Amino acid sequence: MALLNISGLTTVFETATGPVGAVDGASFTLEAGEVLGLVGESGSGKSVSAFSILRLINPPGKIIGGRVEFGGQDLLSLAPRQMRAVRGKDISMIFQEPLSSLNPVQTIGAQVMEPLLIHTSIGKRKARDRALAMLYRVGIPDAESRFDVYPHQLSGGLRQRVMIALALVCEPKILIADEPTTALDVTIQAQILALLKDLQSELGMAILLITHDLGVIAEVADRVAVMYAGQIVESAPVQAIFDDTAHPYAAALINSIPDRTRQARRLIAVKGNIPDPRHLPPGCRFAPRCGFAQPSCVTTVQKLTALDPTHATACMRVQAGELARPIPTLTPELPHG
Amino acid sequence: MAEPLVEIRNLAKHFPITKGIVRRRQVSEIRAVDGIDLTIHSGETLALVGESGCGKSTAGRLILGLLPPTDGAILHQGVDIAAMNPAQLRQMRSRFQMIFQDPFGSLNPRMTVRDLIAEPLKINGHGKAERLEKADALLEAVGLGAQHATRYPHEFSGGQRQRIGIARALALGPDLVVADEPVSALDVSVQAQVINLMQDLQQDLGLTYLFISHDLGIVHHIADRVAVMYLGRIVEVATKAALFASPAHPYTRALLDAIPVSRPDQRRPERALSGDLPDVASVVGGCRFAPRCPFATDRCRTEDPALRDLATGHSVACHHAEALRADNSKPRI
Amino acid sequence: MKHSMFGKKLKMRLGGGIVIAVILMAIFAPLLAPHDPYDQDLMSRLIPPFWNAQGDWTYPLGTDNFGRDMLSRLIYGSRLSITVGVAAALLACTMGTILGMWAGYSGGYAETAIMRLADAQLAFPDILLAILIVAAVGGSALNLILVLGLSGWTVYARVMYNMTRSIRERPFVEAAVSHGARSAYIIRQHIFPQLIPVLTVVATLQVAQMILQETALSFLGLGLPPPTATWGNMLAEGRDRMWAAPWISNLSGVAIIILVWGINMLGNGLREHLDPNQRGRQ
Repeated sequence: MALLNISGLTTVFETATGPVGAVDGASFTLEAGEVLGLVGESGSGKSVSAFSILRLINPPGKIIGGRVEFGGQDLLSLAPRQMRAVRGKDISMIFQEPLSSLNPVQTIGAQVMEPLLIHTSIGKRKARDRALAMLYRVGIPDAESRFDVYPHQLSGGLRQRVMIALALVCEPKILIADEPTTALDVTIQAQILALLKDLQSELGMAILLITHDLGVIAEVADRVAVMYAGQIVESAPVQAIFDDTAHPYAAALINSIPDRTRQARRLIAVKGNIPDPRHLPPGCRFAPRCGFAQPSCVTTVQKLTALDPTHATACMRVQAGELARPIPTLTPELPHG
Repeated sequence: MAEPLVEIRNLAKHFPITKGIVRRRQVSEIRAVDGIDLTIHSGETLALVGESGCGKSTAGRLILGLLPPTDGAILHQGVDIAAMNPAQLRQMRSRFQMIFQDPFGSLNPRMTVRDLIAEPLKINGHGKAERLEKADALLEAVGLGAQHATRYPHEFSGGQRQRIGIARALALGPDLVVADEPVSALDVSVQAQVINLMQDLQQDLGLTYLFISHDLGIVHHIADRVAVMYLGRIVEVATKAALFASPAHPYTRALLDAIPVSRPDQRRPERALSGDLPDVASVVGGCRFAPRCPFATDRCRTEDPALRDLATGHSVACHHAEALRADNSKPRI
Repeated sequence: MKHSMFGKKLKMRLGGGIVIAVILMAIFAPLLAPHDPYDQDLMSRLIPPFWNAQGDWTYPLGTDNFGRDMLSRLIYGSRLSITVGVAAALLACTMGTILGMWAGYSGGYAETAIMRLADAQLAFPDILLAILIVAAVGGSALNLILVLGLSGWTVYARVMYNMTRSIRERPFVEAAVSHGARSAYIIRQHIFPQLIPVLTVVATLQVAQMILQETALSFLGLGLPPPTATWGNMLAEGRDRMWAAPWISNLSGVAIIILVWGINMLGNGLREHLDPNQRGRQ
């Protein structure tokens, strides 16, 4: 039984011109103790999916469909009070920008203590001890003397560690990490990723890692789900995503990263732009940019279908066996394409 | 080797930190760029890499004369722009231009694309017909049709806006283009488009690029030579091949190690560099990297290493570069 | 999408409607006013408005102490309120914007001098300033405009200074510098156009402020001398007769309230329209 089972999640945003879809029928699962990477670019719906799981979507956004099953319950149908009991205790979240996610007028120690005081009945003294231990655990040097400093007095990397401490102090079963290293420099990013992997194996928790960076995925993920324009287009174990790519968009994403093992004359670019969510093609949303598209791709609705127990794709040409796996690399595009 | 287009000698930029309301006195300073020497050769792509606070963006702006230097000389084809007054500097502007990082903020939202691209020409006194024609030609050259000329920036995607920014940077026909993180704000699938465009234009127009970036993957693709900065100093300069295959400075090695792998089967045991990026205002004596360097000795903590030649075309600022290089057994990708 | 009860379109339409109505009233005053506002008829003193038993349709809103028709005086009074309000706001706006942009863009001594001057003036009570000036040079429409304009520039200066400083840091300004543009060009081409939306809103709301201040000055006897028909004067004239003939003060008071309310609504609606992210009190 999966720890977290999301099916058909649909979230829209109300605008002056009508509802705009951000997530459209996303389905994926998270097993206990694994790292699932949710990969996509802007407009893919990955962050909105994560926020939807914890029901952190505010108007004009609205979750209009789907189920989020956790511990035998559908989180989307819980009362607000019950949902609050889940957040920070069973499922926690860390965000991309620590400076705006931490309370600027509260000391970091107080902030790390807060989830303990809310969700458990241990007293202030014990909460302080546990918070301090957590700060040390996430690698903040001199945590004792830093307990009473404010977020702006710390560097970006340390703030991110504080946020991790805050999220994990109640030892949740699931950590949702929304672009946790995007705002960090590469040496600090490496430290944070190592820390997350460490804590994950120590606490036995599952991580839903949201990112646009396939390198981060390659480093830490066990399984991957790739999103494009609000839909999941492929999900597979991490090695299979790279070796056995089953969707042209996933292949394009992997191929557009410069390969440091060889010198290419040109980078393999994907033509066109990410579609406007208000003007989506009726069929495959990637078809206008896809090098393998057939006329029927634009009109036929795509569904995420399993190719084998662990690997699913939304590309109907792959499902029909017309397109071989791994998706072959297209020749570099012509200039000004 | 092509002749030098830009020569930088002992360039420094210090930002004073003052205290007091009535009588402001300087208590310390931020040494964003603290004495760098660099040569940019005509026709090459020199990458300037480093993490936050290393001073690479400041260096780029100094080279373009957008910031007055505290010290040093910036020679563009033999002429020192650091010694010029604003009026003289304005005359020189057409020789060097910039591609900005932010595709949203670098274009005035109230101007049409054609006006944006033509603006440099307008500022420099070109006639209306001439500059509108040039703007349309540039628009075509960057892969956007002339039919887009009357649209506004918000109607374009990030990648398209960056193309507009590139077209604008080329309007005055510069020799040197400083690209400050030109693709960092773009989606991955679009980054490749813009990089390919930049390479095509370089070939067609004989441009020289100073490519400022923290993304070593793209640097590996586009650069001819690479200079690594740390806390306001250049710690290593080498050809791309030499830098990636056998980096000499411990920081360069750590930087390359920290890059996430390209594929899961390349995962290795952790060798993450410990410690935080230090505060630029808190530089103490000796090598700046010593506090975090796993190989630091007493000499490193007291004596500041100068940038010196290790091999032809490969310079490094480290006392122990030779010894470390001999130990460089691990393959570096 | 949730809208507050008074959506911005309603605000702009209602407020704009009121403002336009008053402006038209001011323009077409000679055609609309049933009587000459200065025409005294001592036989017809203190007649109440038409809804009162002793009212008279010849004088729909009653007459004042000198038998002058209230309705006509109100209609003609609008001319002054609008003229002084708009002109003073324009003067304050021009002065304040130029000084604010200059201080914001140049920095250095200009910045210090201008902003400290603004601080000093803000600490000085407006009314006292008005009293001093009017006592010195007398009350006339022009003097009123000068006084109000000179006391109002600091608001603009502050706002434009802060906005200029933030716009100056934006990359497209840096781009213009890199193309060799001079400061004057940058301010004209890149900074000022970005300020126009805020400027419009502040100016609109300030017109209401100016009208209220003109009213206050007139009430204190520092505005245009009687028998000029201004709403402030009319308020003052009715002060002594609040029980006997309340309509003299009340009607002019209501007129002021309606106009100011309309202007404020228009201004707030404009603000919401131009910057939907910034809801709430100004």
